[in-house]
Amino acid sequence: MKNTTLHRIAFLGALATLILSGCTKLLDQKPVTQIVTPKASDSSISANTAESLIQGVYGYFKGAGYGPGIEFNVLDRITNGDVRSDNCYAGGDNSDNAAIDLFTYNALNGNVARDWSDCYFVIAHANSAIAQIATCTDPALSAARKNSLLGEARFMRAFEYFDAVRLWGKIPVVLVPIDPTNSETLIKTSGGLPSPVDSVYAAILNDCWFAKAAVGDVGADPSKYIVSKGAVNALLAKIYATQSTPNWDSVAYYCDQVIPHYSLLANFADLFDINHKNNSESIWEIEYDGYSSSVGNWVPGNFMGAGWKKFSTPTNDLVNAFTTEGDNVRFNASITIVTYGWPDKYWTNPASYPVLSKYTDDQNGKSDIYMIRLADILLLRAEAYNAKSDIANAALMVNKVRARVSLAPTTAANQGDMALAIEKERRLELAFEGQRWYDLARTGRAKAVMNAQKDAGGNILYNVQDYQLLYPVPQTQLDLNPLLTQNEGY
Amino acid sequence: MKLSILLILFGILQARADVRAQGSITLNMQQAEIAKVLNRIEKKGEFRFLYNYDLVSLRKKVSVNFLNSDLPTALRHLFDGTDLTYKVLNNNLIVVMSSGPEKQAIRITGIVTGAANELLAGVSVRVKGTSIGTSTGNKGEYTVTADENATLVFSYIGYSDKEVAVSGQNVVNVQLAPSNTKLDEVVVIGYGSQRRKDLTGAVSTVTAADIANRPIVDAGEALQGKAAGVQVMSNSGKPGAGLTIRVRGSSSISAGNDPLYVVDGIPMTDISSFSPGDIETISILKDAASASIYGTRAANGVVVITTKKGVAGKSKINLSVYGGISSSTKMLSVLNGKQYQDYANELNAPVVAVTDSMVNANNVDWPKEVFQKGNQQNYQLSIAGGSEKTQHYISINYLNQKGIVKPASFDRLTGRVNLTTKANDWLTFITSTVLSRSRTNGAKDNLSVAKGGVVLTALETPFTVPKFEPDGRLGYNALKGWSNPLGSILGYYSKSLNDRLLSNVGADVKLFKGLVFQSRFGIDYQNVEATSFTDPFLTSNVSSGNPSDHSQTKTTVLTWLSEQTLAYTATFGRSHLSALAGWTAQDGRTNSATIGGSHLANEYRLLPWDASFARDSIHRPGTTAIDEWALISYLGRISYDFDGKYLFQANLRSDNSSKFAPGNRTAAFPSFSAGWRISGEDFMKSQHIVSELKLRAGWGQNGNQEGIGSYAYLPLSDVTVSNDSSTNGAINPSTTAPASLTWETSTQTNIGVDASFLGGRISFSGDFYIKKTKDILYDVPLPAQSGYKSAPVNGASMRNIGEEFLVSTRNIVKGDFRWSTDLTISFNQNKVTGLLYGITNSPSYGDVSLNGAGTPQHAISLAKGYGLGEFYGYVAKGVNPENGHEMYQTNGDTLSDNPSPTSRRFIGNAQPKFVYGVTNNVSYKNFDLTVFIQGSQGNKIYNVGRMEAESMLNSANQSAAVLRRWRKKGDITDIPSVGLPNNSLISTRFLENGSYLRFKTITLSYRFSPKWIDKLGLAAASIYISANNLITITHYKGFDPEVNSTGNPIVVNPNGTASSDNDARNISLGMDSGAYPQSKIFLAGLNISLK
Repeated sequence: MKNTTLHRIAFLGALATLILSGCTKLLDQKPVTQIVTPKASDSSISANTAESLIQGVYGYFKGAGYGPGIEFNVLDRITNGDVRSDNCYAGGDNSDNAAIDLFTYNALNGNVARDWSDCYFVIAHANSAIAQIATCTDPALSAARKNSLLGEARFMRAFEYFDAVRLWGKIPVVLVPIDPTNSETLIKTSGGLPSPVDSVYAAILNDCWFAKAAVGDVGADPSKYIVSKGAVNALLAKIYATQSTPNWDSVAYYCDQVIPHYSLLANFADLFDINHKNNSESIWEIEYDGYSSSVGNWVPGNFMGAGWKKFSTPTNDLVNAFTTEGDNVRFNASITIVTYGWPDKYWTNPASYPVLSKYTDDQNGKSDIYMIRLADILLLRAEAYNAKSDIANAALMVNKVRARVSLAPTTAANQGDMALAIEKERRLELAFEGQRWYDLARTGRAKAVMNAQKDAGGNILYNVQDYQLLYPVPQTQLDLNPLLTQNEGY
Repeated sequence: MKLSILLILFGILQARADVRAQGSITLNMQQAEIAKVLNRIEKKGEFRFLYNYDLVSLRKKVSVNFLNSDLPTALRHLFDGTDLTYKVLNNNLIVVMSSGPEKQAIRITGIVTGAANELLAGVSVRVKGTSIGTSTGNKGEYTVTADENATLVFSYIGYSDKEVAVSGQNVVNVQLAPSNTKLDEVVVIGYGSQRRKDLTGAVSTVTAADIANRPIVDAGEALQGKAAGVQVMSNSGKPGAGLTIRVRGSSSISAGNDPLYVVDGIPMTDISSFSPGDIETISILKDAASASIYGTRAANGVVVITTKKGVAGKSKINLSVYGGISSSTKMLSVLNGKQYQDYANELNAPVVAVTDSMVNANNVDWPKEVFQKGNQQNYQLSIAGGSEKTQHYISINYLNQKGIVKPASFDRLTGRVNLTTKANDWLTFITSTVLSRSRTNGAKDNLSVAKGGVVLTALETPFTVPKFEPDGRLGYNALKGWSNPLGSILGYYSKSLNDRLLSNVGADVKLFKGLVFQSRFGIDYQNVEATSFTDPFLTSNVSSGNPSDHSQTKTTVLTWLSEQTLAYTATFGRSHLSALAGWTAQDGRTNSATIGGSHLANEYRLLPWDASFARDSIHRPGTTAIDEWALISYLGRISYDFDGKYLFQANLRSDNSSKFAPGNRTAAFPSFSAGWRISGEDFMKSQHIVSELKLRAGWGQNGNQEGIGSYAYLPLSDVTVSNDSSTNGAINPSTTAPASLTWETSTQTNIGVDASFLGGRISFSGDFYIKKTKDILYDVPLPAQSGYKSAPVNGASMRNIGEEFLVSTRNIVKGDFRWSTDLTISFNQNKVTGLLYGITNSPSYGDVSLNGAGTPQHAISLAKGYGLGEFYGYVAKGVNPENGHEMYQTNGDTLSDNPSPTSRRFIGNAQPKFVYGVTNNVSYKNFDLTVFIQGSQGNKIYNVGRMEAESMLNSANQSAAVLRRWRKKGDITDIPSVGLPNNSLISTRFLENGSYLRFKTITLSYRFSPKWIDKLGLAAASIYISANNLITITHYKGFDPEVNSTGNPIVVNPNGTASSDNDARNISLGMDSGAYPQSKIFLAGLNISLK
């Protein structure tokens, strides 16, 4: 019947109309809750985006949004600076930490691998932000503001390279962003030869000089996490003190640029409670606003509070150093004796076990950590005076730090004694702030000090070899970048 | 178009005087059916005809040549030699009817039985040449009205069709013979079905019978050992845990390796919401020739699932119930309190860490405390039936599983309605709808003790640890601080609620003879709510970050599908042609939102989740994510055979995917296959050995885009959502873009043979294939200075070569005792043939976090020339009797207890050389016994659990094996001394043979005789008992060799960052990181059919 055919065709037509309409745009799907990263050289970002990018670098540096910064810049700063030195035992039960404490690490050590990656991730993040901000032509971003943003990012990059060169020696230096818009090119170009130590320092200094001119004055921003000229000068002082041939004139110069802008807090313990953030002594401080913010500082919970055997437990030697010095103020602000019930061969009495308690907030994630504070720079200035045989001025600096914690002036009277007095003062003042190992390393004292360490039973603990003053290059990185070479000895 | 009304009308009109038709006819047609000629005349517009389509004479073929003929002349000529006559009504309306003696329609009844005289229910009974038909009831009975000279056609799955002439009889009883060979069965393929006889591709099938009477939760389990070429691995024994299914090996690295599922025509990636009891058949399209109709999603094979449909006739109501208990297949022994004290004090010497009073105070056998009896129950009720016009299948299923480790459980309620209705003789509507709600209560498995993994915690919590502290908090190991296993059981939960609505509606339109237009629309809507909570009080001695935690993610996924196809079939002499052309569009959109909080005051901890969440003192900022993809495709297929002997098929599918850059979105995938049915040749007719013999060969290409992120071709940055203004809105780069991201392409060549011998007593099917995949998405790990962990590129190639065989024998077929055997065996060799940029060895997979170390070590390498899942580590050479140090082979021939990383080497592979399954069915009178054995051979497992339990590095309890540990100089043993990290490096020491042979299912069932149950109003009833995983023969030292810790499908992160997870799933095979063990299940079940 003819009707049927008509019906069939009409039915088909209706269906075809239904299905073919509205399908043309179907294939054009775009990300909604993420944004497309531009190729830096092609980007033309807005002022707001520039601000978001610098926020990203700050956040990443301290570990926001699962960024790696907190492991490298906070947790492992203490592992690398204190556990590796004579300040702490590894504690806990993590084999990687223990290997660092005991100098048995090799290229497969998880901490070493993580630190290399985390450090470079922060650097790459800064590289990406620097390149994009540099192209911003939005008039809403003033030239001064733009310069400041670039300076802040370059300072953070320099800070990470400074850590890296001290940990590994020669390393690849990458200062331009990789192009995320082309994985293929990226894979071919992401390797790279390591640069000699001097070249690494040249790049670090270059960033610092730029930052010094570009960033805001001390106090321009109420948050001490925002990089100021004071932070840059302080970092420069530390760099010149660390290079293989320290430039003490430069150390003195940059310390003097810093010191007038800051003052010591009257009460040492106030530095580490959570009510004195951004205080007058703080030069560069990572601020943590707790677990309701994008990242809370969870690190203190690894050292103290209820729970398992703690990481980074203080050594007998350090506790003795505090006791011998009669340094109750700093001891009490740094270490708590607890009864936890897990004795070990270092601390055999379960009722008297010391834990690291300098970072007071193990509950809410609000403990800040100082990257640089005034006492560090004062003592560095003392070293610079001492290097020039100006014992009196060196003592003046040391005594400023001692007076605050009710200790008598130093009795060191000659250059050699003063050097040891400053070393000890730095150890007690800056314990668990990630400084000790680097102090021992830059003064050439690491091997001697470490190989004299004994456990509770009087047994020699370590046999540090010269090659172990540098970490091995992680095996994974060697596998991924054939241009890298392993540090000698590993 | 009710013909009867028209005929009545005609009867009335007949009373009037004849009307003469006006007009002339010019027409030339050769060998055309009379109906077609009438149709053509009608089309010229002057005449309209009314006739009964069923009149047989209308099918007679005639040749006509009219030149301006008037109607009477033309029709007289046309109807010459037939019984047809006509009447002309008004308006040139002509009624055509039969003038022959009125054929007597009679009522025919009968009973259909099988070979053993058993009554067969659901047998299709059709009157040949008509659309009239019915199906047998529960006692095999049927009633049909047909012409006294009609022929009835009886067909039933598994039996040969039988035609019987009615010859005026009122009772026609029929006995059907089991089909001679599997080649007679109809196999569902992509967008259609084919007789196995005519298949030219490699297709395995599993039917409802393979699923029945087994505690199958996910339909994928039914494929294990039953379908050659398919490897099915349970990831763990956790209720609701997923499966790893590989069809002919793995072919991807960073994208997906799971097959595509097509359920009643809707492509999908997850079938866990369905009741296996609703499944009629499962076809696995394995080679390119059969799968390429699914184009870019078919490279990993396609599993086509068809659910049960109603059959016209009396309603059949079936009820299946089973219940059972489960227990661990094996227990591992650990140190008791005293032995632990001995160990711990040796570790901590000279300190006495564990005192006698600690040993005496508590003695909790933690493994016994944790591993309990689980249970499982399942209820399925279905009603199937319908009229000639409308058929229905309605079912409801409830399944409940309680695991052997608390609190793991899974339950699922599923309802299904499948309907087919014929609107008229050319239009049929088809719809099916499933509603399902499943609830999973998770257990923390595959995790180290430090992360609260309940399985390892059960093994590693010393017996000296109390269940509770005096204040009511959970007991913890004073030496270590991790909570006892109750921390994961009482102090924590992770629940998910998954609601799913899957519905499709479609129409089949018969356009012309042989041409059918099929239209389908489907939606798949899922709403998943994943909720977790950590109790602040109970767990407060546990260091798990925050003292409490609330987290909830709600995800909705809406996928829709539109599919329009035209199918054409025709026969020309001995040639048969069928063709298919189609267009489909599919779109999937995922929305998710996550909230969380922490720091809950203890007093609120017992409130319901939402109430306690509201009282958290810290709330994390909420985040949302959206992801959407679309695929528009054109597809076509031509099948041709000559005389059923020479078979050819070609497929082409062209896909356009939103996942790739504009300009890069289109790809086409062709395939060709051919078959030669040698047994159809005359020269084979004279022998009786070979009943069927067919050679098949096929070549084709498939694509893969599953697992590739929706926006993976773009470099993406995340935007931080935060409560603090300093980072809120911060931009962080997250992924890089492969500029030319494209499909992975697999090219597969398949050669197969199907044969049956001795009248079907033995049937055999074998296939050999080579599958080469190029442009494999490979997330290339990058040096850290790039700032990205990895960059995805289409940068790898892989090859799979394999053979698979299916042998079915009917060993004893006569008398009361019957026995048949099915054997499947599948070999596959997988090899990475190329990695871009000179990468030859990338040992960054198979994460091992020994004792919860923050940075994992790696046990697996991705390496050129090796298969996926290649273990990489040191070669352990035993314990040095001098100092108790484990010794390892170095690069030279020396041994060292501190080997350099460069002395690691390839030490074995996680992929089996072959997997197999053997099913024996034995029946004696009313008893049936099924014994299903399944196994895997030649695969290695890295036993992370043992590595941790024998590491002797901390105060965790240890495996009883450490009783053999080295203690003093001169001890000769295989277990080294305590306290040295280097004693448990990733090495051959913890790499074990994972081969196993398992009695997967043993089922004994009894069918009640009809005479017994008749009085109860039942048509059929059977009861059974079944043992699952009863015996496992293996050397594996862990809980169970059927394990794959990284196999669980990880929900693709809506921001497209799932690629690294895919890496783990695809490469990190054979890892046992404390997986929830498989269980032994004893079941009893009952199946009944109501009258």
